[in-house]
Amino acid sequence: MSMPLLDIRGLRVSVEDKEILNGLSLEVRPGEVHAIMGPNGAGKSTLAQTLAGRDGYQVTGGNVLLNGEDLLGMSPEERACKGLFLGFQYPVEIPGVSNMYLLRSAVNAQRKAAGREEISAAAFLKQARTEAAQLKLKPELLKRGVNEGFSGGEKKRNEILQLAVLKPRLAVLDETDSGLDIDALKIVASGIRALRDGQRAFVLITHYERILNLVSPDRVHVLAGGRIARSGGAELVSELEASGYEPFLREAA
Amino acid sequence: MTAAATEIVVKAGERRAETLRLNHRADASAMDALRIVLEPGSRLELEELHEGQGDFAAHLEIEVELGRGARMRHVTVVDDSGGGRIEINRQVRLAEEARLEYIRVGSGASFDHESLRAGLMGPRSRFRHGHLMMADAGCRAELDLEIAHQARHAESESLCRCVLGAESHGGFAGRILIPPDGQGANARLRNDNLLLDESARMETRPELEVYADEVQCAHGAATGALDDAALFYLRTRGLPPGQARALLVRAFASSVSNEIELPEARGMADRMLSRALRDLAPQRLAA
Repeated sequence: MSMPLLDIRGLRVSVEDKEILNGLSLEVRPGEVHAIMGPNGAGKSTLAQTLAGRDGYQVTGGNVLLNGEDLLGMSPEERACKGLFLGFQYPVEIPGVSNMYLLRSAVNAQRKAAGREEISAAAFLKQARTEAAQLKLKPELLKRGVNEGFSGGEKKRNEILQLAVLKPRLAVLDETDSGLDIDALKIVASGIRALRDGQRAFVLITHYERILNLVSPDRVHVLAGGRIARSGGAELVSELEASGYEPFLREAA
Repeated sequence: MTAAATEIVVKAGERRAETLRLNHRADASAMDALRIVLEPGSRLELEELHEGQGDFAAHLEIEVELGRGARMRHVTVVDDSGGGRIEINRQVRLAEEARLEYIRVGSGASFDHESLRAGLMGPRSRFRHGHLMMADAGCRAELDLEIAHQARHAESESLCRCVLGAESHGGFAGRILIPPDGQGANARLRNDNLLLDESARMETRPELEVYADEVQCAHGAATGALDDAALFYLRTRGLPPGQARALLVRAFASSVSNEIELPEARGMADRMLSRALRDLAPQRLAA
């Protein structure tokens, strides 16, 4: 069996001295799609933010390997350059920085870190326009400030645009499906499916069954009480829909 | 300092574009008084480009008169590479239905002070103003502004943005004055300040003084550090922290600098901004 792309062992994380994750373990192999579900406050977003390297998320135990390398010792930008992408639950608005400029700066920063040449502006523009069209994002949104005045659905599709352009090894998508209408959800799901290639892996953090019906995860995990309370195949999703999280909370307590 | 006075008069109905290059050196100052007159219905695009080198001290008195229906687009760039002192007293007066757009960006001087008195003397005159100041390492930048709506239905819009590096000091005193004759005024005044270091200091005082009954006025000020959430977002996309911070500072500045449409001033402002971003305490930007 191949080496895990993401290997989380006994991860403990505190925020403002309150322990949120207490011994979370998870292995994600190349090509796999994992779904992480769980009640509000279970630590799903804490996991996502910790993996991306946000300040204030204090790791008090355990370790995380990305492709065999120690992830937790890296800065956020090193993690990105090593192939980690975080799709934000609440994408940040950055007026004055055009969406296109950010995309190109990000691609070039990652190319530079890999010792590759910068992409030409013309070639990049073409690629970005093509990807944006596939996500049904209006071309003018490429020129506007990052997420500035975007609707909720446009912000989430813009995260998928960044994903499509950056082509990371591992994408952690934090509730990218929340707040989307059914058409936008289908677009986002097809964006994710288009990037599945046997090498790239996804961790989808979600509250809802509907995206999982469109993306078909290999593994589903229930995060409760700061650790993985239960793992299973796609059938676990319908069990959750029937039972709710209550039984898992009791198990975790 | 050589004392000199210059006058630009644009005749009624005439259109002109002028570029003034003012080089400030330790031993000489190019000009200390400037008077600009736009006769009724005339138009002027003026680039006022100050370049300072060495330990100079410049003091300028500038008067701008716009006649009835005149239109002026005016950009001032103060780019000082050596830490000199520059003080500009500027008075502008707008007659009926005159329109003035005045954008001013500056960086690098150890002391940069502009006092701007704008008089909207004629009905339906309009004044649009953008001011960007960047100060670093022991430098001080100040804007002392008064916009007086002396006639009916005049409009003004003013945005001042200030970027402060370590050990620097910024000052904004901005006042909208609407006497009883200024009925129907529409005035907006805003000051936003970005502090890049805990040792930076900003004093801001936006004021409204209104004696008319029917006016629309807004004023406000905000001072803060770079947005951590935006910084983190950019870093998760692979941008090193120095580049991410510089990008955010440039974005903040762009609200003013992007309004510059006159080409030479635009080029000079872009070069100045790039240099200022490099110089704004790079060790802290990279931290």
